[in-house]
Formats: sequence, structure tokens, C-alpha cells
Amino acid sequence: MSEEIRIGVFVCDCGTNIGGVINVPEVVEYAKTLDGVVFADEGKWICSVDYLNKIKESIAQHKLNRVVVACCTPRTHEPIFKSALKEAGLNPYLLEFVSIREQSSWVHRSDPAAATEKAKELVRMGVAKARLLEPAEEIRLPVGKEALVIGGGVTGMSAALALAGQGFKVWIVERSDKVGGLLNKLTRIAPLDIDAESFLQGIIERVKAEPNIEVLLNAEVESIEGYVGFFKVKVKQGENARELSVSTIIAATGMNEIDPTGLCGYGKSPKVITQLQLEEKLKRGDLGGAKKVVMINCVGSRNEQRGCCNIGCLTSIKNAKHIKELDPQAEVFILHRGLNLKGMDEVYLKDAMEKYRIKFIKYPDDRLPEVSEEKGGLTVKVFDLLLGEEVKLSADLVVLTVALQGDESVERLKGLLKVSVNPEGFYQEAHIKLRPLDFSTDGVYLCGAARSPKGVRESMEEAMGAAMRASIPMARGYVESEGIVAVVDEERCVGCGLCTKVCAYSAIRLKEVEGGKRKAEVIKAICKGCGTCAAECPKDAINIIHYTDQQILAQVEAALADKPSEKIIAFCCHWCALGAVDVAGVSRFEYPPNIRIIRVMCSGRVDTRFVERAFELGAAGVLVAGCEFPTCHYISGNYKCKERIEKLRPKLAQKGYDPEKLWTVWLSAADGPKFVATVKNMVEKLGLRR
Amino acid sequence: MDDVISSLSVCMQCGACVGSCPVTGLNNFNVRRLARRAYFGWTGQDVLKNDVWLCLLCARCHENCPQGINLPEVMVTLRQQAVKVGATPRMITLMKSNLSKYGNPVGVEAKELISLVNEVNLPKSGERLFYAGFYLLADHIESMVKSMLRAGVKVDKVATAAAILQRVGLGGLLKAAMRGVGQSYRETLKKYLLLLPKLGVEVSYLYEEEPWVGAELHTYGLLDEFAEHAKRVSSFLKERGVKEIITPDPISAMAFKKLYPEFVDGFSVEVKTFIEVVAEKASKASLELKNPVGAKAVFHDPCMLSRYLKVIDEPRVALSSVPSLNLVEPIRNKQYTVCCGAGGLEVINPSLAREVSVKSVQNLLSASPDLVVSACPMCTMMLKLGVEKLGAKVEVIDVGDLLWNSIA
Repeated sequence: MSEEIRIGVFVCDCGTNIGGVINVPEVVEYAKTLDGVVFADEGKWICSVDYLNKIKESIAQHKLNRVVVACCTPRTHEPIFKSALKEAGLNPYLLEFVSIREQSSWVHRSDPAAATEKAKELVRMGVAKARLLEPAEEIRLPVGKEALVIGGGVTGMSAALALAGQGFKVWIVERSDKVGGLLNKLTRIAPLDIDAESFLQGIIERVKAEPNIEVLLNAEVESIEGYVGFFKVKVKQGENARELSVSTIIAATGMNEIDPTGLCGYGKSPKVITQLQLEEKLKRGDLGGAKKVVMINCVGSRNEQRGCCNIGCLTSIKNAKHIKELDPQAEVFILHRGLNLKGMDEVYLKDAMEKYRIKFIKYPDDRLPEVSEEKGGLTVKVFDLLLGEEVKLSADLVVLTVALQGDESVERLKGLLKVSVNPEGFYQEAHIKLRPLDFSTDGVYLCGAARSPKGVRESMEEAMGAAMRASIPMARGYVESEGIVAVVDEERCVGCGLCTKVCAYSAIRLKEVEGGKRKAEVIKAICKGCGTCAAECPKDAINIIHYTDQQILAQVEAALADKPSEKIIAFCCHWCALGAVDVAGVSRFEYPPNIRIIRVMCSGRVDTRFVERAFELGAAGVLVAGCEFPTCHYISGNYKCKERIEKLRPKLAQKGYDPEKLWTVWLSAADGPKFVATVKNMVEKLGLRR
Repeated sequence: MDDVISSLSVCMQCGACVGSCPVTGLNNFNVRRLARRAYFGWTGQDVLKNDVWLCLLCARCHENCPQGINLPEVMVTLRQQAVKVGATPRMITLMKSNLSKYGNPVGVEAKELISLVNEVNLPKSGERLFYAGFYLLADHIESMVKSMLRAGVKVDKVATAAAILQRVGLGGLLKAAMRGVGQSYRETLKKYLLLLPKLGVEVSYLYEEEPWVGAELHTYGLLDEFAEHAKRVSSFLKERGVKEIITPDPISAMAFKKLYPEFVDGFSVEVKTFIEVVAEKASKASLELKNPVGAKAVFHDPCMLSRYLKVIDEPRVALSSVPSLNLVEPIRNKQYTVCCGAGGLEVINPSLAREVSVKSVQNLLSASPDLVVSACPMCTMMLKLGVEKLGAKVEVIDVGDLLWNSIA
């Protein structure tokens, strides 16, 4: 673009929030002196309707083609100003937001002169970036109305019904010869003791009656190509293979008991069985004459390997009740480590104790009961915490409530779906709180026991949740990304594929080009713009729109134009780091004014070049601030950043810079105090004058 | 038996019972653990020979149990189990044999027992019967207990206590004890007999024919024997046309009011404690107590009276009619009263019983009284032991004596 750059700078008083500390008129006058600035103005509250109109008028009047606002934090009003630009006929990506409230007036109140100087420099940095801004567009990918559900248990079927009910076409791929999964093996569902078989039949009837659902039995997923809206899935059914074109995929592959061989006598005696094996006996109504049953809970659970299995307590009580109903004279003990029951399930327990006289013994966390065979029967030694001594129980049947793990198909599917799995064989969701039923890859979702061990109730709830998630893009008809996406310079790209390895969203892939070469290609609609690929690319062939290398370097240079040896450049991610900065601001914590913050979307964006340039220009120090582990807003950007910074340190030393001047801090968005402490620490350790 | 043990299915092992139990801390006795063992069927010889006999049956646990479990009933059931396997303390066997030979557990001829009270002349038949109960035996029991304490029967395990007694010679011990028997409780009994006409209440009294209530048979788990005994007593009373019993002894009152109807079909004798009669008169302002008793006094609620019979306000109403009596309350009172240490334990493990009485006295001393008013002969006996052990400057007096002093 060779048009003349005409920047308008609007500086806000924010009442007295900014104006009471910073000399705003001085900042306005200073802005006018900057290259490219043709108009600068002061406003009482520039986010007000009146002033927004004024901005639009100024754009028209002064033919502005770039806008810098110097006010609060971008985390609040950025959308308002972007809308204003749009209404004024300007591309909204031509806005640069400078925060002189949270980053200056609120936190340097006792030094108005320094606050004003800092505000001026922040404006200078903002203008430097604004000069290089280019228009950008939101990108859309079309999404169709077909979905694939992997797993035909009650979870998969519930998800399919929820989708089909909305008019979407659903395929269920089930690898066994019948649907129903684990529920086929159960007699009853607690806590209402619902008959499992009739419950399952009910769901199967509904699936059969639903024309939008096609069930493929004895079928396995062979390969998955593509991305949201364009998945091509090869399914093998015996001898036949077919290809399904789907827009979204839901993984509902369920769970299974672990093999407890070696624990509590399992494998040594046929009288030691698991709860699922007990279910077989309960189905037949035949306990084989067992009169004294001892159940041992938490076998293989709640240890260093894995946590609570969630359903063990309820399952053991349910089956104990069933045993007592089959034979009221039978004596049933449940040995447990604490009964994990919620809400109305406690009534179930009360019933079990008072009406069915099931006896409960709590044993210590570090002493699993011992089972041994003695004189044709079993003896269970357990330490009764309530008596404070070990007791011996004789049993003719011992039932182990064993730990649960993800289905065996997960091992293979994780590669096909390109998703992560934890050591227990359960799938890993994108974010445990913010996106519990999404995989980080767009268009792929998970639910039920495939995600973590749970009962029928919770599985069905999650199935409907996953179906809801999947139906959003399908109902809308597209997925859309912000204009902040990665762009590949194919001339510089050598097809090394490093970018594809670091993208958490599988949004960048290698494509074949003429000459047998490969080049990286961004699937813009699912790119989140974190910038990790751009920072990792060894050839600097990738840039991020609105956060280009050139723009960021311009900010670094603008920040260090004056007295660089007193300045610390802080690269802060928009989500957690800037969040913490803002909390520090709102809390009015005071800290030294040496910090100059450069916003990036993700700490993963921070290229080593940026850091090196800062030291080259004489910065006193560099701080890289990102989301605390393990929760990066972009899944794994922070991890990559951390690795990169560690690898950079020896290189810095080689170049003659002091690696001790490069700091990192990983915080939560609420941790204003941690940010402030880090800054104060840095300023002290670097020997900077306050 | 099974029903009582099954009632423990609601026990949540909270331990409120342990916190209430006066024996906790003096011994390894832990009623929560015992309840758990009982429910799970883990009551072996060790438990049946020792633990179950350390309970006072004071029902303080039952009072505080959030699930309302009748632990004293469980304890009696466990004692029944113990009896069946022969794990009974020797003293109980002796008392049982005394009962069949002499008609009372202390093994003394009835004629000898009533020699003092014979001085009072009351009709021997009538619908309203005065019942002496433990007031008649207390002098002898006190002597037995003191004798055992002197012999050093102070061990934790009941079984070992029995062995010591065997070595020392239980029979000989008790014979020696009988030689040093006092008269104070029978003196008090006499006053009760004289008080009644002064209160305008007409009663009959059976003198040496008074049938022993047999409460200790139930206390010690000899339930079959108790049922048999109660049936005989019931028939006898019916024969004599007895329709109402008035007694100053809360133990007998409890047995007649609560246990007899359970074990004897159609037992319909009305039961009133003496203090209830006094309170009735006081509330109708027909009680004339003239002589002042200028003392700061606490009333010790007997377990049987406050928790089993729920007679709590009446003693206070009665005592508030005594001129110049400054009635104060100790920290633990009314239904939360601390057991005096009797309840049958005093002859099984007298040293432990005395430790409990010390706790009880200490509770009463919290009100800094000069006087402790008791309404049960066993309480009087135990509290006196506690006061003596502590060297406390406080007098223990039976409410009957107090009223007599004030009325005469």
C-alpha cells in the first residue's frame, strides 16, 4: 500500500482516572509531533456515544486511515471502537489500542511526571504499529449438516439423537456387533435401580425410529482427513470400506475396567471377581451359593496413577443391594476409602445401611485389604479405621471395584483425530472449564466415559452437551475466525513442517506444490492467530495479521528510542498476562514505571528476534509474560514459548547479552499481585532507578 | 435379641455417646466401638467378659445420640449374650443365688432388714402401696462396696477382679461386711413412711412381705430370670389388690413403670415417685414446710429419675417450697446429669464406680454448694464416696431427710 498514512490519535481523560494523573493535553501535543499523525484530540470519555460520533466525524473530516486510541484496556472497549471505525467506513483492523490507564495513570499515581512520560511513549509505540497496520477480514469456512459419532453406546446414541432431532444427518460407527456398549453388561442403573436392559431398549428404539441416524455395526474408523466442515472419514465394515463426508465428529468411545491381576488376590482365586463380572451373576440371578460377600472399593484407584473412578461407591452399593434382594440372609460388607456420593444418592446409602443392613468398613488410604485363601474359603484382612484395629472377615465371594480406563480404541483413534489423551487412556479436552466437551481441534468433540469415568446420567448429559457444541457450526453453516490469522510466505517456506507440529488446532498443514515440493498452508477459518507457528518458523516465513514481526519490532524500537537502559520491554499475552496487568491497574497497585508493555495474543507469538532486538537496542531487561501452566488460552502456546526462551538464553550469552536480564512470568488473569511483584523484583535485580 | 442389635444399623459412629459417657477416659471402655462390634457381630469372649460390664446404664449416651439409639438396651442385650456364654462376673451369680434363697440380692433375711422400719405403723393392705425398694438394702450394699474397696478391688478387667475376689474369698469378704452394716438409709426410709401421712397421702406397706423388684436381674442381662421373677411379683401384687405404687426409690419406680409392662402381660399398676407426690402438693400450695434450711443446695438428678422417667421439674418444685433453701444448678443437670457411678457397677468394679462418682461430685461442685440433695439411695451412697475421696466440704443429704427436717 503506497497511500499516505494519515493517523488520528484520540487520548482519553476517562474523567479523572487518566486526566487526574497524566497531563493529557501534553500527550495530545506530543502525539501531533509523531510521524504520520495528522490529527490528535483529547476527550473526556472517548467511549461515550458523543465522542464516538466525534471520532467518526474526525475520520471523515481529516481523511484518517489509521486510528490510535489511548485510554483504558483493550480487554474492555476494543469492540466498541472497532464498530465505530466500521461505521465510519474504515476497516476495523486499522485500529490500535493503547492502554494508558491500567498501564500508567492507575499504577503510577505518585509520579504524575513519569506517568505522563510513559503515556507519551506508549502512544509513540502505538503510532509506530499503526503506521504498519493493514486491513484484514474475518474468514469463513462453510460447514455442512452431517456428523459422525464414534461409539454406539448410550452416550454415542444420545449424542446422535440430540443431533438428529435438530435435522442433522448422523452416522454412528460401532466396532462391536451391537449398540449399547457397557450398558449391555449392567443389570440396573443406580440410584433408582432402573432396569438397564429396558432403559437401553428404549434408547435403541428411538435410534431405530430416527431416519436421520444410520448405525454402522462391526465398523471401525480407518482414517480421517480434512478439517471442520470437510472431514473425509474412511470406515471399514468387515470386507467393505466406505467414505463418509462429515462436518463434525463426536468421540464417545467409552471406558472399561482395568485388569486387576495381582491386586487383592485377583487371578489367584476364582472367587475374587470384578463388579462387571458380578453383574453377569446378578443377571442370571445366581450367586453360586455365596453367603458372605466382601466388596473392596478403590482397587487400582486413588493412587499415584489415577484418581477416583467416580462411580465405584454407587456401583458397589447398587450391587450389594441387589445381592441382599436375591438372598436376604447373605452378609455383605463394603470396604471403602470414603463414600463418594452426591445429592440424593445419600438416600440410597441410608437405605443400604438401615434397610438392607449392608456393613461398611472404611480402611486407610495406604492399606489395601489383603485377600487370602484359607481352608477353601477366602479371608479378607482389613484395618477398620473406626475400631482402630485390623479385623478378619471370612468370605465366599470377594468383589473388587476396580479402576476404569479409556477404551482400547483410543490408542489408535487419537492419532486419527489428532487429539491428546491422558495416561489413563481418556481423551483430553481443550480446557477443563471453558471448553470441556471440545477437542482443541475445531469440529471434533468428546463426551461421556471417553473423557473421564462416569455413570449413565452424566454421560448422557455430556452427550447432549457435545451434540450442542457440534450443532453450533452446523446450524450456523460456517465457522469464522477473526482476521488475526497466520499467513505463509510461500517463497520463504521450505516445507520443513515444524509449524504443523506446534499448531494445537491442526490449522496449518503441508500441501504439495509443483516440483514435488511442499509448502505450509493455513486453514484460515480454524486458525486462532496465536502466532506459535510464526515464532517457531526457522525461515520467518509465517506472519500473523495485526501482529506482524514488523509491527512488533516497530513497537520495540519506538519503546527504546529514548533512554533504553531504563526500560524493560514486557511481551504480554492478551489473555492472562494482560488480564493480570489490568487487575493490578484496577487494584491501583503501584509499581515502577520502567515497564513498556507490547501486547501479543499469545506468549507463543514471542519470536526470539523480538527479544534479541530489544537487547540490541540497549533495553535494561525483557519480560515475557504468559498464561500459567497448564491452561494456555491457545492450549500449548505458553509451553512452546517457555521452551523457546530456555533455548534462547545460551544464545544470548554467546551474543554478549546477559541472559539474567531475560525474565519470564506465568500468571493467571487474576494475578495482579504476581505481575506487580515480578516488575518490582526485576527493577530491583536489574538495579534500575525508580 | 436380633432386633435390638439391628437397631444399630442407623449408627453413624459419630461418637456423641463416647463424649457423654462418664466411664470414657477412666478406662479403655469405648461405647462407640462397642456398638460397632455388637452390630458387626464381633463380640468375642474378651468383649463379653469385660467391656459390657463396665457400663453404668445411665443412658447419657442415649440422651445425646443423634439417631436415638437405645444403647442401654443394646448393653443389656450384650450382657444377655455374655450370660449365655458364661462370661458373667462372679458377684452376679452370687446375687442371683441370694435372691432365690433370701428373696433379695444381698442375702439377708427380710425380717432383719425391716427391724428399724417396724416402728412405723401402716396398714398392710390397700390399693395404694408404699414401696421401699433399694432404701431397704442400701445399708448392706454400702457396707459391701466399702469392704471391697478396702480389699483393693481396683482393677480394669472385671474378670481379674473376680479372680482377686476368689483369692480373697468373696464369701468371707461379704460376711465381714455384714458385721459393719449401718442404719442411715433405713432411718431415711422411716422418715419417708412418716412423711406420707403428713402429706395427706394414705398408703399401705407390706413390711417383710415386700417382694423384691428384681431390677438387677434385668440390669445384668438375666432376662429370662427377670421375666419369671416379674411375673411372680406381678401376681403377688394383683393378689393383694395393689393398684398404685408410690416409691422414693427411682430404680424400683423405673422397673415397675417401664420394665414390668414390657415383660408381664397386662401389668397395669400405676407408679409414682415420692418426689412427684411432693411436687403435686407443692403446686397446689398444700405443702406446709415450716423450718428453714438456710443452705446453698444443688439437686443431683438421678439417671433413673431424669432420663428414664423424665421427672425433672418436680424435684425443683418440691425443693423450692423449702424455706430459705437457695437452690442452684450445676453445669450438667437435668437430663444431662452425670451418673453417680452406681447402676450396678458399684459391686462389679467398685473402684471404677468411685472414679465416676468423683466426676459426678466435681460437676455438682461447679455450683459451689454447701449441700447436695439426692433422691436415690444408690446416688447418696456413691456421692458420699466421691465427696470423701475428694475431701470436699459438702454434705450429701437425701431429699426425704431434708423434707422431714423442714416439715417437722
